[in-house]
Amino acid sequence: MEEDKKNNPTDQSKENQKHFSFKGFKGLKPSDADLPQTPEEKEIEEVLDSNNIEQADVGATIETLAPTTTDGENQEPSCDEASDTDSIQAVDMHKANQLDSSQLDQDVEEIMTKMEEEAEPETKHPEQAPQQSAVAPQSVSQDTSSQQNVESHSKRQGLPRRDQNANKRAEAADQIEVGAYDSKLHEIDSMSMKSKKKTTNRRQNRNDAKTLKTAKKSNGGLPSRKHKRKKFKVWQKVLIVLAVLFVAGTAGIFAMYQRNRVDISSYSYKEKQKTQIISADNQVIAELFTENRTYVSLNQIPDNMKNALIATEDRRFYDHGGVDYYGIARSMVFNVFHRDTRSQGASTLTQQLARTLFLPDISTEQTMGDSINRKFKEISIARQLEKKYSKNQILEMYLNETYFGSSAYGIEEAAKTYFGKDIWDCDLAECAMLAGLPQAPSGYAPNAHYDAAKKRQSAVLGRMVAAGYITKAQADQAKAEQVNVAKWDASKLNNQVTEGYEKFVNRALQQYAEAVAPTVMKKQGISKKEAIKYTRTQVSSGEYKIYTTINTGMQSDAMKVALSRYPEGSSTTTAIVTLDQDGSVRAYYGGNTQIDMCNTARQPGSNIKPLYYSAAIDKGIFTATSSLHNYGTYGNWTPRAEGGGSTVDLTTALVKSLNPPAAYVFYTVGVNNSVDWMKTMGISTFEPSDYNINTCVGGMLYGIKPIEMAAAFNIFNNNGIYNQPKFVTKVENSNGSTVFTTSNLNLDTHQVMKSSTASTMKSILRKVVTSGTGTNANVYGTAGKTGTTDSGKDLWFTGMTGDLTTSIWTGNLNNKALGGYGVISAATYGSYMRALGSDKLITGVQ
Amino acid sequence: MNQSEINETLRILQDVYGTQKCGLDFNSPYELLIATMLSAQCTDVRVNKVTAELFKDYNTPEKMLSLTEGELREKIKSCGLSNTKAKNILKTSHLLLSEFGGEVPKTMKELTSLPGVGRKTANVVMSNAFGIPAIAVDTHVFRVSNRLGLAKGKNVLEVEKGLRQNLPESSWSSTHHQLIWHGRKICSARNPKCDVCPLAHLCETRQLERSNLK
Repeated sequence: MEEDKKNNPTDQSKENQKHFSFKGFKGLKPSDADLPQTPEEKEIEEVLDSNNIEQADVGATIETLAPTTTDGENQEPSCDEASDTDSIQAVDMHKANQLDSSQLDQDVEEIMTKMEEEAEPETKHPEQAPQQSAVAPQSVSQDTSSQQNVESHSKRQGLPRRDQNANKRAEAADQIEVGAYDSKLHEIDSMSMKSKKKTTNRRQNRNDAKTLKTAKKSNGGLPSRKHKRKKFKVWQKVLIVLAVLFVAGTAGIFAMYQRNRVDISSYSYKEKQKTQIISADNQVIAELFTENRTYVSLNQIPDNMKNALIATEDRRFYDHGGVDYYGIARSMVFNVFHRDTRSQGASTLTQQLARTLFLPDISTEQTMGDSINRKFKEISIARQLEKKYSKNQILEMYLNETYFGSSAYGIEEAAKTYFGKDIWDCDLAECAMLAGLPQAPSGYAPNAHYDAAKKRQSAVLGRMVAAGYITKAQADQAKAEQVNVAKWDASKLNNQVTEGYEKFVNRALQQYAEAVAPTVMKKQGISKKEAIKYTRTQVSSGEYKIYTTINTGMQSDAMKVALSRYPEGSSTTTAIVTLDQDGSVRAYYGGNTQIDMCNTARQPGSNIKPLYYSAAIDKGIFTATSSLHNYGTYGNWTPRAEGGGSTVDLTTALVKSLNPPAAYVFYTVGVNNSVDWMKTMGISTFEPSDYNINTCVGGMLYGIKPIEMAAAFNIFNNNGIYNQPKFVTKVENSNGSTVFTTSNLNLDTHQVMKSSTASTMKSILRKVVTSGTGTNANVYGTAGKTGTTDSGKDLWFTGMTGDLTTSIWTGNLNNKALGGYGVISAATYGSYMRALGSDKLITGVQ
Repeated sequence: MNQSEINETLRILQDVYGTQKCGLDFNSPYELLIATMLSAQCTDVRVNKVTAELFKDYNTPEKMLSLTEGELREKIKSCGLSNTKAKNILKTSHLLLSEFGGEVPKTMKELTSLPGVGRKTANVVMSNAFGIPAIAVDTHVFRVSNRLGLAKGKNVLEVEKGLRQNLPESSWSSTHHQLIWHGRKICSARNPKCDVCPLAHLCETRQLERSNLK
């Protein structure tokens, strides 16, 4: 510190203003950059580089900060007065000069902590703009501003505030330092010389600074120029020490600032959309959200609302550049003097918005350090936001993004939630109540804590009067007004999916989540289950567009047909699932309860027969005309003959759904072969106990899911090729770029049987519909098969019409016998196909 | 009864009751089959009321099968025995669809293979739907035949056999209806109106009673 003592801050002249005012730094110009510098010099330079840049160009990167600008010079008034002030102040500050730099850093940290607290802006403005006393050489204006800061701090100490030009954005940077310094000195006074701390903080900060400016090399830390002064007063020493300490501390702050700086130059605000699920025919079938928000533009929002908010949260909103340095200073001073009482904050609307948009995870902050880091991020973002957007845009974003409690995001949902009306219909009393919410959205929620909300409302009105937005009379009138608060209805939050599409949306999200699960698992190191849950949560709040395979025309026909017979509340229900040849799920109605019956295994009855009959034909064991035994005992089971002679041809056996020939086919193909064959057809629900002769008549442990039955029949309709059912075709993120397509699904598709087998099966199944149990479904050349289980517990029909394959199941969820036959489902199929036909939704019909 | 008495009886029955049609309303063999199944333990009038509604929407096996047991039971419960009848009607309809191509079979063997269909129902269907000479023995025919002495038997099958033996095939269907009407109007189970009976002079039972009185 030896060299610092030799600096003479009083040595100022007009001529000197063009050079650095500190003698010790005299001649330090860009051209002198190669000259050795003291560490302090270096730090000052770095800090001021940053400072100047932040002020001049928020978006600029540190590399662009060549110290050549001369902006600051023009505004700078004479510093004569400042130097006098310095002299006076130095005495006052004498006792502080013992503090080493670590103490200073510590102070700075405390100061920064205070900044976090949101404040109610003070009413009085500084009377006079800070004097920018620096004498800056043109080439090193940043150095100059540093000098200004140092001097102006001292100057203001203990003097009346003079800030008549508070509006000047250019002084913002100055203000923060003034504020910090003011506060620090107050603390110093009250601290009565705390014990000194280790210098680790300081070292840390220096290191940070060095890291950021690796281009500059350290000069080894030794002073290279020593200019002796004959007369050196004590107060000057004190001042210099303080100045250096301040600069060092500031360097630390800015190092932290730089480290935490968030670059949002590539960011552009987009109003938050709900995640949309879109059908194949481009209808929105669901809008998912975790934040219930309806965007409104600023001109839809009453002036009362805007004024109330500004008066309450950020009075100088239209004057500051994103960060209210004066407010920070004021709040810190206040908080220092009122440590045991309430504390003030100074977050501007812009800072709050920055937090909402970019730093939403405040709740995870563990330490003071986290909070400070976040504060720096917040400031850097706020300043950039102010550059990017107008005040009105920022206000609009704020009003739409902010959480107002009771699951309401944005002012419009808040108005609807609390008052049951649109924001543009809200009067002064209601606006004032809403404006009070951002501070404590739950605590002041009118629907839960009316008294607190009322109290807060009157505080807001008070501020509006103070700010001159309204008269006292208006405020009193609003206070007296009885505000009608709407009762909170949580149910509307659940109403995100179009009725009848819930189960499909669920399957679509599940398919997407399962497809991306391996990546998520790897990235996050979590289990598959967790990965799926994680993805589904993400996708529900991520403004995605999820394109799906469903056709709303088919879905609505399916629902109409299913519900016309068994409406909601009926104990019986019908599930309908329709696939296209490529496996696209076109309709998916899982029944009138919460349970998705399209995806629930039920006993298939005779509906299973065509599946293994196809094995016999494909393997060449039988043909469509083969004569089959209509009798026999298989294992310990003798199927009852229900007509026909002792032999029957294969087609007739299947058309009449005779059990003895079915058992004969199943047995001849082989029990294991038959079950394994059906597994290749995509039936996933076979259990070890299903390797059993009873499976040939659908006697399985769990049964078959309608969607898998449809996919298996689709093989007959698709030349022997199996296509795994497909729900999702494409996912777009919020930028509209495709992040996921069908190919990412890795869907199973494979040839199960010869194309000829498939067409043989189809023609046999056609006969079921023309002359067998499927006659009710005899429309548009349908081919299919019914299935009925004991006493009519499960009534099935799976059929193919044109390019569509549909499986229909009807039954009671409690497995109670319904009575009746699969013919019922065939009838449902017939009605469904007629509806599709009249809506011209069936393709591929000859 | 000797042959001349039988012929006299048939002539009087024809004179008194004329050519009677089936008391059940129907438009197809299937409707008649279902109506006959419903008529067990029930009057024709009641059955006709029920079927007038039922057959509006469910007059074929496949249409009938689009009903569940419960739904059908609701529609036919006024006929009595609706549990069994509903189950049998659906089973029968399903068999018609899967085994008989949706058509009502014409032979006794096939008809009686259907659940809920016995000889009487089969005879009714055969004679009324297909014009196949058949004589269905119901409770009236059974009682009247035994009383008159047209055919004696302990059960309906014996009586049917006797009638088939004793009556000319051409008169089976009409006599069946005339006997039913006679049983309903005059020869009632209890307190038969022998005083006004046009067949009293031929009736074995009446003559036996008279000789016992003497």
